[in-house]
Amino acid sequence: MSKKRKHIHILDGMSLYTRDRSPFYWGYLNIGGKIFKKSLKTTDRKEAEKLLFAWKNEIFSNSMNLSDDQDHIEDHDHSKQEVIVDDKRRKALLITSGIMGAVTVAGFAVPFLSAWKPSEKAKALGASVKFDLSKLQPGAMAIVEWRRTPIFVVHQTQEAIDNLPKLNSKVTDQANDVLPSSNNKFTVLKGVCTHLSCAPKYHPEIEPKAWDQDWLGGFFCPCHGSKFDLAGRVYKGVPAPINLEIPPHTFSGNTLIIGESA
Amino acid sequence: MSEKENSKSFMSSMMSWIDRRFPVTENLERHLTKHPVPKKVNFYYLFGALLMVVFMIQVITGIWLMMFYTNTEEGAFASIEYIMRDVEYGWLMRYMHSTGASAFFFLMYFHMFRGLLYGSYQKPKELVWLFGCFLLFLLMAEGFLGYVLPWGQMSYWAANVILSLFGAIPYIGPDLQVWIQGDFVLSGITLSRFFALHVVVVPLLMIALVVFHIFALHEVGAGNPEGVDIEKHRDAKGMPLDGAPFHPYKTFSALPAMGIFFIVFFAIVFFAPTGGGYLIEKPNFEEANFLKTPDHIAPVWYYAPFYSILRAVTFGIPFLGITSKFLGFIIFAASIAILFVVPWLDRSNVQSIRYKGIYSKIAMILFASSFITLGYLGTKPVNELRTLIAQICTIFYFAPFILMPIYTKYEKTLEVPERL
Amino acid sequence: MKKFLILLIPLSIFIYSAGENKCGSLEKCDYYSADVHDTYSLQRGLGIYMNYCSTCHTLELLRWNRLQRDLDIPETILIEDLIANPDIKIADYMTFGLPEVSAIGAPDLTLRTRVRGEDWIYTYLRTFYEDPEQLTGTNNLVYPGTSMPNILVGLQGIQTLDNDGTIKLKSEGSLSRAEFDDSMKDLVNFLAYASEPARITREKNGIFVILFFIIFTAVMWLLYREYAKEIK
Repeated sequence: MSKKRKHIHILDGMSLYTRDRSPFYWGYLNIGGKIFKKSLKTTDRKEAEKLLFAWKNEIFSNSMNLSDDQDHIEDHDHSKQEVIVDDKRRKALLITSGIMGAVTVAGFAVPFLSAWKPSEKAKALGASVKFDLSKLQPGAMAIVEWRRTPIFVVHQTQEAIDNLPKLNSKVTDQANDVLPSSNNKFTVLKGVCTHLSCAPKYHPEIEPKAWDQDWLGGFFCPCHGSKFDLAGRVYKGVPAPINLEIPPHTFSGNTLIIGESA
Repeated sequence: MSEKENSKSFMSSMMSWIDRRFPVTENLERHLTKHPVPKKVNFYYLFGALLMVVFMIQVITGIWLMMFYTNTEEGAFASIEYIMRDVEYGWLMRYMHSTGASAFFFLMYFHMFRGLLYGSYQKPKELVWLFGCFLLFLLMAEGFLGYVLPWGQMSYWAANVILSLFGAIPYIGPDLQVWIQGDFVLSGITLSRFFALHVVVVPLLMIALVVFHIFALHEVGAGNPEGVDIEKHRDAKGMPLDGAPFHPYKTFSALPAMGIFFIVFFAIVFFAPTGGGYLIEKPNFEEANFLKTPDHIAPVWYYAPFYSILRAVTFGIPFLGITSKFLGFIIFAASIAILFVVPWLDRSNVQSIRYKGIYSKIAMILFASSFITLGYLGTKPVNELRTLIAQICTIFYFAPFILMPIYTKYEKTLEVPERL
Repeated sequence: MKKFLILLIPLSIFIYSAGENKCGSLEKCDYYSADVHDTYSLQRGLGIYMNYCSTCHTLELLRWNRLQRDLDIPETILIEDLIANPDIKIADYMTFGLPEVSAIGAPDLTLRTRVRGEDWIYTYLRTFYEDPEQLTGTNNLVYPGTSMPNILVGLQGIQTLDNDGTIKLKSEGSLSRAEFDDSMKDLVNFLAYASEPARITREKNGIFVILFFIIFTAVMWLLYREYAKEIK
């Protein structure tokens, strides 16, 4: 039984056909130009044929008695009602219900997908962190935790600020010789090496180091020897490809707010 | 035009490639598209499809809840409130899951009552019925295990009551109870194992049994309210004359039913998720406290009839050494177990209640009304009158089954028509 | 068949309310069902909570920022007037540094309305009366022997218990009886909100979901009928 429509010619003005997705036979009669269609409610070809002939006879006898029998007219109307075939309606309904189904599935998906977004708890833990700068002495560094990441807050000395341009030839990102924060006394950096996510160490001392004879202060990553200056700029010829990242932050008087950009 | 035809032939050749190796089309036709179902059935025959929908809701919301739930004594209660407040749409997941549990039982009870009414357990459908009864048992276990997880006052004390039933079994009882609990009292250890059972073991068994249930059903064919065997009269192609293919006739009849179900389901989820204390009980919003029993321990509505039977047994059999507590447990277990043997209790020559005699009809009315009355009583505190009513109803609950071999054999039945 | 359906009617009766309806020493609690959609009422309720309840009780599951969002509170008012403590972050819970169960044994109020019911809380707050035998000097009809003092006495006035078990006002408080009842409704609304902040969205959006499924059912019904007529 194929899903396609079938059309079976039987006699002139008489045929059987099936409709989309339906195994049931429908009858088609053309009696003197009048067209009748109805479902024969069977999937059996032979029975359908038999019913079709019976139906034809019925219509013939009805039309003969038409003038004198009121009941038969109603019968006739009734059979006409059954006749209504509307493939367009069926198709429209299939499409509409298909859309309804899709909307339902999409509607169900929304809450389930949004449930994976950071919860209020995660947001609370990831909320901005305040840090009081007044107690941080020049040259000192504080580590503040924000979103499970150490944030380095460095109070730069005047000497360190003056030294920055001297390092221009050694770092990749030469143009950036000012401090990478909106306040030119404090540097705020993510304490995560941009190479393989170790935590760099803070070495503000200006003295020869094992890794650099002309060290002017900065960050040194003990894992793979990446070097950064005090502004977080990465040195040339080290494994780390880019500068230390700067978290969103803003200053409000003596308070540093990490996690909110100005 | 030709492109379209090309893509069609590509699809069909791909399908035949797959079918050669994995019979997709054959199975789809056998179980979905061409599977013949009786033409004329009533709304009772839609509960099976709705149960599948609810099962899916429970599995999906359950998986999501599991992502946020903590299965420890310290964290369980707080994690539920975390889901309710902090997880986006967490409240919806939880309410859908809790309402889904009620819906599951509601539909299950109707689905089984349909089976009783129209003889959906008679030869050759015994296994379909048995798998269904196992599913009811598993559902009750699943519901109970899940009920403990929020670790509220009612979770704790209701679990205590049920677990102490195992302790009532002579000789092995107390040890069995400790073994189930994994502790000398109901504790976080019990909670952890109940969690594992609730989310993995029981659902897996249920999925397997649902598959068995449906395979068995498709082997013997679905019934109808008339109890007519549609397989008797077939057309030339072997399609039953009173049957219609599952798709589109059955599938499309399930869709409006699904719509109505969702209207009711979401009306509860959005406007009465606690159901006035029947779906989520008030004391369960308080964390489990092993020093303080709630004033009144009532089961959720879907256990109420069985709980009522349990409480109705106020006497034991002293000379056999059976305490009232143990006897209650036995009768409680029997109230579910008796459903398993129904196929062998019914000796009637007709399937449907429509053609059975007056005694079968009275029996069904007695059974249904006593089940509902027991359910009502189960949620109320006991007093003497209520206990007496519960005892009478317990008898009425069992009588239709125990007397079934007699009245179904001797009562006068009507003649069943040949065709639907 | 219809007979069996009629049997289901008792089901609808017992869905109505769980347990016995007794309300402490009262036969029934005064009916009140909280309205969480009246933002002004919630704000007034929050005011009463902050002024009277929060000295002893906590809301250990409600976050300040959730409260701010749901009750439409400007940030400056939240931080300066409500929290008024630079150490408390806006994502913190409304505990005011009180321990989980405070030393005086006042329970946490977040889930109380769900445990007790809105009726119960509403009636409880309004049925304190003078009782010299109690440590606190007051007793309660709904919860006899309660250890909570009648903190709202200034608003309500002093009540006494008559011999016939009814409550009489002995001296006026700053609010009239109707005003006091309204304030208590505000407070219950607020506590009901605190017990389930999602209730606002839940009740607001539920109607759309249900309307959608009504249309869904209608379309599916037409589809079903279109096919069913072939086999009828």
